[in-house]
Amino acid sequence: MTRAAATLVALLSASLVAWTSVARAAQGDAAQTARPAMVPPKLVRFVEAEFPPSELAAEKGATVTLQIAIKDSGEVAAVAVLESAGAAFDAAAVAAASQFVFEPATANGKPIPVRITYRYEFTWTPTLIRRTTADFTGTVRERVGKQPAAGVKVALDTGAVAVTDAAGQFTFGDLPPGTHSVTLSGERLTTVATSELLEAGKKLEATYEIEHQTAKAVAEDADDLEIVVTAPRLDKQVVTTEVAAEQGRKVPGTQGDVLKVVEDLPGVARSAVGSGALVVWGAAPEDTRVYMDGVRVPRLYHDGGYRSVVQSDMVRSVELVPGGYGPSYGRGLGGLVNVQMSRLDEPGLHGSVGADTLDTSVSVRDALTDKLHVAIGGRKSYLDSVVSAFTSQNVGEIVPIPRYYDGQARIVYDLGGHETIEIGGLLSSDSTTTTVASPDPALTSTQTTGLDFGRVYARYEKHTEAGATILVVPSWGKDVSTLNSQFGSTPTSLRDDSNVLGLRASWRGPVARFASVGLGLDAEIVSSSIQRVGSLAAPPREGDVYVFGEPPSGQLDADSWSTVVASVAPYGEVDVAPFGDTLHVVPGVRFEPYVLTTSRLVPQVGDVPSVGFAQQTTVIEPRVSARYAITNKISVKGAVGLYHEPPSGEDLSAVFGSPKLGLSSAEHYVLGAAAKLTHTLDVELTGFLIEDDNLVVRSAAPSPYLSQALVQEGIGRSYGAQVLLRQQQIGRFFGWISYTLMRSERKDHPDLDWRLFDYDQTHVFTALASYDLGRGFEVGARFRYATGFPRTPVTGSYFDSLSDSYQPEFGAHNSIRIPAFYALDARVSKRFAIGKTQAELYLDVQNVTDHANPEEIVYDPTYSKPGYITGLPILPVLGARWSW
Amino acid sequence: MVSRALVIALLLVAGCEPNLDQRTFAVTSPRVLAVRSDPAEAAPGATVTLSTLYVGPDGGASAGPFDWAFCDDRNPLANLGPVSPACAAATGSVFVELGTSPSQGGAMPAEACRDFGPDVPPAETGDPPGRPVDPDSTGGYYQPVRLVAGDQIAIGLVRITCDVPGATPDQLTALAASDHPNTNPQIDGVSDATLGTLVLAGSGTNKVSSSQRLELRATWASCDPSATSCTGSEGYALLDAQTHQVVHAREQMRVSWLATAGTFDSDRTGRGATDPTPYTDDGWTAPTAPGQAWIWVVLRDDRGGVGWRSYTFDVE
Repeated sequence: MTRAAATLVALLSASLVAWTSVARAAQGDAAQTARPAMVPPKLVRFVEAEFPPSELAAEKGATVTLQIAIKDSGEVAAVAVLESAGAAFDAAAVAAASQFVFEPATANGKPIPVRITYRYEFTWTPTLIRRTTADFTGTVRERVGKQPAAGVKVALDTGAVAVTDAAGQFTFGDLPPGTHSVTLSGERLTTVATSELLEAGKKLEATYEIEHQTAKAVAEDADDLEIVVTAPRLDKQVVTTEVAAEQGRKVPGTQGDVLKVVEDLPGVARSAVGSGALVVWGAAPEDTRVYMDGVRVPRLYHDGGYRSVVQSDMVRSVELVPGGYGPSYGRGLGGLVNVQMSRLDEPGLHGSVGADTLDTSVSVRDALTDKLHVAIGGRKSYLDSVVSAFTSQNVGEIVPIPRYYDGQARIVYDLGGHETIEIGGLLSSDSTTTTVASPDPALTSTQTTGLDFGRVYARYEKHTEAGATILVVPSWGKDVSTLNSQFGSTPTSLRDDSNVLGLRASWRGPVARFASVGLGLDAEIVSSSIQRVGSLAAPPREGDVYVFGEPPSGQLDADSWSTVVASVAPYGEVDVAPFGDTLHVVPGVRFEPYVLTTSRLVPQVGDVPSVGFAQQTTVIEPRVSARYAITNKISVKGAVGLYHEPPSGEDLSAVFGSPKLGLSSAEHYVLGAAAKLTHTLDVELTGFLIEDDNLVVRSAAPSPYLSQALVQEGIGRSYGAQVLLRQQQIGRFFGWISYTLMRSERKDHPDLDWRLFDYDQTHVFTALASYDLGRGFEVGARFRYATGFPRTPVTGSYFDSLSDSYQPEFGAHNSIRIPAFYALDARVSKRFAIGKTQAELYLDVQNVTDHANPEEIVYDPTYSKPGYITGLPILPVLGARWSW
Repeated sequence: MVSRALVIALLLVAGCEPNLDQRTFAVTSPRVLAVRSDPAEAAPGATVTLSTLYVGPDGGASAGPFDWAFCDDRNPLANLGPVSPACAAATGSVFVELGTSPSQGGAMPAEACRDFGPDVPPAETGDPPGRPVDPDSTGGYYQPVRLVAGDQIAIGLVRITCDVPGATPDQLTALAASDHPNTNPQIDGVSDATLGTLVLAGSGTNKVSSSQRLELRATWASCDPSATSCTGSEGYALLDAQTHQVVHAREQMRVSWLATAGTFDSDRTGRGATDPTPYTDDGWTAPTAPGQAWIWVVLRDDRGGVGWRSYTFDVE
């Protein structure tokens, strides 16, 4: 804190600009006779005026022009203001000047009374005062919409209490330095505590965000809020975009599915229609890991990408970290998606039922007691049934109609003292069937795919009075993926049964006035039993050169093997903030020993017993990030880290892969800046470079070695920049514009040239906005543009007599692209109150302009004429949701 | 909401398909329709005679020129096509030239089972052994043959008789008893309910009216699964890659229907491996304009055997 002081700067010589009438009369008399000897008054006692406290905040000075009447004794007879600088300054100046004492003016040696003009100048100068206390101010605002929250009680362990004002602000002054516990509470609020480190002579500014428990709760009582402490915290990620559920639900094109908003975030490539693949910063889809409250799941979206695998009512927010994340996560070369599940602590019975063209979903949550809450939800698709009922055409010959369901169940018990324990389960199932009938037995094909997974988990969470957070999440799950196809007489089957055992445990909290620490353990054991029959080329891998829809090779092999991929990774990181919140440096390290085993080192021959193979590898992954606030509105940031990813169990086959595959690695380099343009408008620019090494690729050897169909000779690089201009909820509006400029390349073997990554997209642009019209109406629009994926051109063909078909001849690998995609989507919704319940009708129209977007390149049977499979035409999805 | 789903489904159907001609029956330019080896299966070093059905829109067999060669380039694992891309070139160091006759004889390469079969490629000292080639679904391995016919390149694949690695003595005995080299299939005849059995090209001309529809049936021999040689759907045995057991199967039969004029209902018809019916049907509608038309019927089994018939029509 600074303090201003007043200083006299006027000089008497300069101030003596007018004489009194008496003086002038004397001068006149003297002029007629002889010029009298005039001596001006001399200030012998100066009194410093107090800088008006009310003017300190303005941090600027002022000048008051006074007229001082001085007696012949030198005392001040009167003071009048000639030029005012404001009442406060005038009063201070007059009070000080009234106490002045002068050596009187003289005329011919005789004291005389005079009046002088005197300019009293107040100069504001910051004064360093070594204070022994600290100040603490802050803002409490709503998490969704960022609106200020009034009436929230903020209490300190010193006994001091403040209540937020209409602007959501609170202030404490002259607090003893040190770590203080801060409690946020209020009527019908869940009290939470955190801690703040106050330093002597400094003011700490904090921001706390609160969020509505449910839409219904808000409707019933706008004060029924849940407090989420978001600052200070150990910020792990340098680049992260988080979207709250209430906002994600309103984004056009998501059909109310909160998690589909991830596709609209910067750094995410647009996936081909019907794929649902998540390509982040040029990484392969399987390189990006998805977590639900600390539990890893194999996918974010159901088949086709039309729906996420978790019912939206179960979701509080979703966060995308495209790269450069801290040491608490690993085993992936790409990005990270963290889904935060909704909090269960509201009283009463609540739920929702939703239905649209694709599926129906239901969720129910109830407070069995004050401390015990349960929730259950699920969803089931029926698009396949509807299509079958209303058309005789076999749509499944052309587009696999996804069939899926998912379910979630949670029980949360409040142990008191900011301590909860949760038992939960997740379930998801997907299947597709495609059947193509043909009079030609070689062209008759069927294909079924499936991916089922389930998870059960426990979650223990505790927030201590000292501001630390303890989290323990053990989980167990099962993944079953299947692929069965028959193309003519060529079969392909792949079944992967995996048991996934996970444990995440962490402690995070402050350890010093300038440091917070995160320590944890991240363990995962994946035990898989895999059977595969078919061609090495089916299913194709990234980097394979082929034409969409090309029949698989007729060569067959088979293998049955089991694998274990296990690692237990202790990690630690420390957030060092030596200059308050201005600079954060977060170094961390992850120490991860891996064990990889496979049951078969070489292909089975006859009845010879198989010999397994095991390897142990330990990696140390240093990661560091830094954030520097140039001003309170502009900051720069950067991160560097090393990441590793174990091979897929499916790649450890002695027939189809290599049992000796090791870890792939990546280095992430991130540099960015963020600016707060207004209270709710942010812009963030981030550049990135990712260098991959030891990527698994097919052997290019003309005569490959046994059990080395796959080798680790690939390298990759992805680089680019992304910008996000995001308008948080302001009034009735929110939206964002994101743009990513990116290039992702692979080099499959040392003697090959760089090629474009199969999922490379140079430009990805998304602009979306939502506006509340009032009376329950809401409208929104989304525009997307994305460069088409690279493809390898067909330059000719030859006739294959065995199959009676033409085979393509290819040009340079991935040297052409599918034409760019662009589409405008729109959404309109209307909310109704039905008694104490709420209903919403929405129409989500994708591709409003009905633009035919090419999604894949296909050819005629002779490969002489190319054509495009186009994506979805205008697609209206009408849905309804009823909640209580 | 349900009607919306219907709309979506129909739009998906209407909007996703590219407008590309998928028909291949029409012979509008000189074109290789088939490549055949006699015998259909041969061991390394054995002599085979290679021939082709190379025709043009005028109906007659095209004169060539022809250029036959065995290709000895192993197909890389990273290549998803049936042969190495180098084998589909007109020239190169990977070829063992055979000759330029329309029908060309030659000895199967001695290393065929190593380069394209189950024999393990020799390893350099200190290196692990090489990876053998995988069989197809019939348990077969194939030697690539490149044919340059006119300006077209065609690949034929001659089935190689190789050892069966990994088989136990009992399995080898079982295979020897029930498996036998493939025999090229043969079309016994093509008939129509009205015209009866069609007259083969060279033996006469079949007469049809313009736009007349024929219900054609191509017939082949009905084979006893235990027969050692049959020109129909033969039975054979193989060592199943997944179960490592000897299994018995029957050949899948496919017929390709091609014509210089008129329209076939289907480009190809046939019988699956589980369907022993010795014939397949297709409809052909004669052209609207009077003149001559040629039809070729090519029969293939799924072990690399091929046979064909040609027919001439006077369209009145």
